[in-house]
Amino acid sequence: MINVYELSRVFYDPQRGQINAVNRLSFTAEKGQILGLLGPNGAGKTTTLRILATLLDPTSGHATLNGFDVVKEPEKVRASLGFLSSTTGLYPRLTPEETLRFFGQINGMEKMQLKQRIDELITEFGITEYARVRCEKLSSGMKQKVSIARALVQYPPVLVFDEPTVGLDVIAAAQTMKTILEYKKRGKCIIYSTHIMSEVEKLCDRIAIIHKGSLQALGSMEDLRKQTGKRYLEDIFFSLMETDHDSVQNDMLM
Amino acid sequence: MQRWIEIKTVFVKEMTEIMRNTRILIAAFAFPLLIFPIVFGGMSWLQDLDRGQMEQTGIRVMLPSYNQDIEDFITENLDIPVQFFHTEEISKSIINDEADIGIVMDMQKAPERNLWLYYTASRNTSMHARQKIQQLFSENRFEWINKFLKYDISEFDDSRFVPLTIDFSDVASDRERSGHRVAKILPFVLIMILVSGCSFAAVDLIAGEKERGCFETLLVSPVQRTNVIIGKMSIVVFSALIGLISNMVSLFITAKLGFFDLTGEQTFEFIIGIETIAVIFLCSLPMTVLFASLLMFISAGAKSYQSGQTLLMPFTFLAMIPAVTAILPGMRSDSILVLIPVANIVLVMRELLEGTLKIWPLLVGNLINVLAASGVVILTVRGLNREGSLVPGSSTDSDRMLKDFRNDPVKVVFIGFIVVWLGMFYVMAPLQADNLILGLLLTLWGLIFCAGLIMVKIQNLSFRKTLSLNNPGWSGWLGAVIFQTGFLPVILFFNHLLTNLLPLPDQWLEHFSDALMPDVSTFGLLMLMAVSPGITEEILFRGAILGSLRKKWSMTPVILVSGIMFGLLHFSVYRLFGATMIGFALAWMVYASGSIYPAIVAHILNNALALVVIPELGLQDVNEYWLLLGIPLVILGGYLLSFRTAKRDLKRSAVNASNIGESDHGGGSI
Ligand SMILES: Nc1ncnc2c1ncn2[C@@H]1O[C@H](COP(=O)(O)OP(=O)(O)O)[C@@H](O)[C@H]1O
Ligand SMILES: [Mg+2]
Repeated sequence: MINVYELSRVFYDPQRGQINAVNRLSFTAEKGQILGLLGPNGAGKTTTLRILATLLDPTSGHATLNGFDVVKEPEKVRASLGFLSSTTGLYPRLTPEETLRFFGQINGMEKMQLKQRIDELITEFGITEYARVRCEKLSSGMKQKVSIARALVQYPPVLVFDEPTVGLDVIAAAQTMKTILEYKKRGKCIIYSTHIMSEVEKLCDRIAIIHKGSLQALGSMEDLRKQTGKRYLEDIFFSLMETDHDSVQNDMLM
Repeated sequence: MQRWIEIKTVFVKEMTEIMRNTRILIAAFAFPLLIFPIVFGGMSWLQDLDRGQMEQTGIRVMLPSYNQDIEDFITENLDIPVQFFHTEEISKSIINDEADIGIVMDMQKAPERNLWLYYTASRNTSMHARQKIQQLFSENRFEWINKFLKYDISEFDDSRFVPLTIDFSDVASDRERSGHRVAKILPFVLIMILVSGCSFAAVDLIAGEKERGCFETLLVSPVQRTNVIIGKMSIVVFSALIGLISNMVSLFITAKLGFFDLTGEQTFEFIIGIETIAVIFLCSLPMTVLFASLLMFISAGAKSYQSGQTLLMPFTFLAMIPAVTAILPGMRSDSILVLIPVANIVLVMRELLEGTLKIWPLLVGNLINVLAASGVVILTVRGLNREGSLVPGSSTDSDRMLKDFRNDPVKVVFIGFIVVWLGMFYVMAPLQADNLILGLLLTLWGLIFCAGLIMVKIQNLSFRKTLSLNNPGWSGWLGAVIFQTGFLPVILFFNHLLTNLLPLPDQWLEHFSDALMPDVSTFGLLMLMAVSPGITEEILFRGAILGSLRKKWSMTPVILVSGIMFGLLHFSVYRLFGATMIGFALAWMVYASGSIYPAIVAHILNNALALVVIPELGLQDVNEYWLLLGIPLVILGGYLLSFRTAKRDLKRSAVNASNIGESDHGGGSI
């Protein structure tokens, strides 16, 4: 469902000069699976996902989502995509119901179908009581539910979550992850980016470890264990960071 | 179809949000609705205070000579104290504040026109006194006609006295006078309303949404970015227009309530008629679109609502500057001001209210504003379509923007031109008004010439190539002289046709002869008005601008754009046509001869001929023979100019083939 091939993105910063935020990254993600994107802050996860969501253009490389190229067919890519990040916001002066309706309309849904879909989502996420309260008055857990519902309104086959639990309390975070698992079971292709290892262990079928824009390892937990000879994800992660350290030094010597 | 659905969806959503935003509601609706009742209510309250005071201190009446009858009549019938003075110089005494009102009665002209009231509109006391006296004489007109004029009232039918037996020394018509009062304040208030209406909505819809992360949410939906921008733009325009409409309603109601009626004139409703309101509304439309998109574009530079407001503040003041022109005395719309967005429409509105508006400034002003608005809309849509402009944390880096700018000759030319234009308008024009010679020299060498050099330098281009500093050969020099000698009469002929449609104002003609500066020798005059402009303007327009644009564009658009820019820099609707045509011709000469020198020669020649020949011949004699004389010369000169290009092109391509590695970006097409 998602194919990323040799994807790179360069930023220019007046202070830092050229930044290779994403560096020749390749991976795939399948239907009914969750791919975990694991990396420290500044690893390039958000940049990668923003390229997939067509918010940013890649400097080089290709990516397709649901068979559509992110550069050539951005509208089709976005129509197949439910995107949620810690920075995506809700309109404060719209109610959850209006929010869902707006995004359904933007996605070109039929009136009757949309109405049915809104009812469905409101029931499913348990926001019936708050459906007509303005979003600015909701708690952060409630807002997160509305945000997820919003990302799901047009039945997208692909879901992208960029650190969705940032700023949520434990209960809300657990609920979010439960919902994501539920949608995996319903056959969605999901990418989940985070720097929290326990979340990855709990959710993901396959894990891509990224550091400084480059892929360090890719595979299931089992694959990673075999590759590094370590048992716990944390150990695996740090052993990969170390090798990376060397490789960076090597790069600089050349 | 899909496009409209998307725009409409965004529009409706924004509408819902805006209706729930008290801040915007106040700015766009309540404030404009209340402003006129408050301003004019306050004004009439102040005047009432004055009036109250006057009731106690009384009024001072000036008569040409002692007249017991009149004085008795006034003291008996007026309920406030009256003092009388006497002088022959009535107007002077009123101007000097020795009296509030002067009364002159003319027995000879009775009963047609028999009473003159002298007053000054510049003092409230005088206005009140006038009102009192006027009322007194019209209410008791039978009595005083009987008494002073010794006519038998039964000889006349009532109607003869009713309309006007009282005359005023103030020459302005009622319409002009009360129009003037509103005209001074209304356009400024309208611009304020439009700018503040737009800026509240723009900041909330762009910077606010950016801060709240709503753009990220929206832009990952399959909606097209352009449609989002257009949808938002419509709602910004819409909310500013709501403000405008509230404002007009407010004005209308205030007029109905009679707040403008400070002197008892019943003319105000007539001024603010439906047509006036419609014209003001239509004139405001392009302005609103311009403000909306400009403010949206600017607020996209902010990361939060707060910083958006801070960012917009200076621009709001900037819009005020041209709006202030309406308040300055002596500004007219039939001047270069018609070319300046905002200022032009402010003046048009003022003159509309005063009843002195001409039709062509209305049309030209609106045309300019529509063009300016379209340009800004296009720039905004393109600017906000850039990847980093709407999503936080991915701002476009300034380094690359500067690099892009330097490598984009079109941008350099347009921005450079705007800077030169603004410099001319705001700095050089006042300087020239102060000291013509120094101002001209500074404009030409300090601004225009330097701007040309900087444009080339900033792009790291070679001066010789960009400015076409090549030897045109004997045919080029000769061709330039012959061509221009023929071109001037041709232009004068067409200009003459045009001036019949668009008559030159007298003051412009005067100004032109003033500019000939009697105290400067002919040689000095030629240096100042022919040689200097010839060199400096050519370096900028046919050098830097043409040389930059031709790296991106083909010949025709380069000639058109550089010519129009040349015309626009001449700051006058009357000279626009001629200057633009000459601009086209000079640009073509650079292409034809491969060198800037023929253009410089032709330009100098043109100005010299215009300086020496036109005052001798006079423009009245322009006729078709000028065409017959000019066209053959133009053809001959044109042939000579392009005579050697073909041969040189051949030679050049041979030379070029041998040194391709020359280090000039791109290289011109000549
Ligand atoms: N618009 C930008 N301009 C310059 N640098 C950026 C920009 N966006 C991200 N970066 C840099 O790119 C790198 C990767 O950032 P990001 O993708 O946000 O990492 P993550 O999401 O993994 O924390 C960081 O070093 C970040 O500072
Ligand atoms: Mg991130």
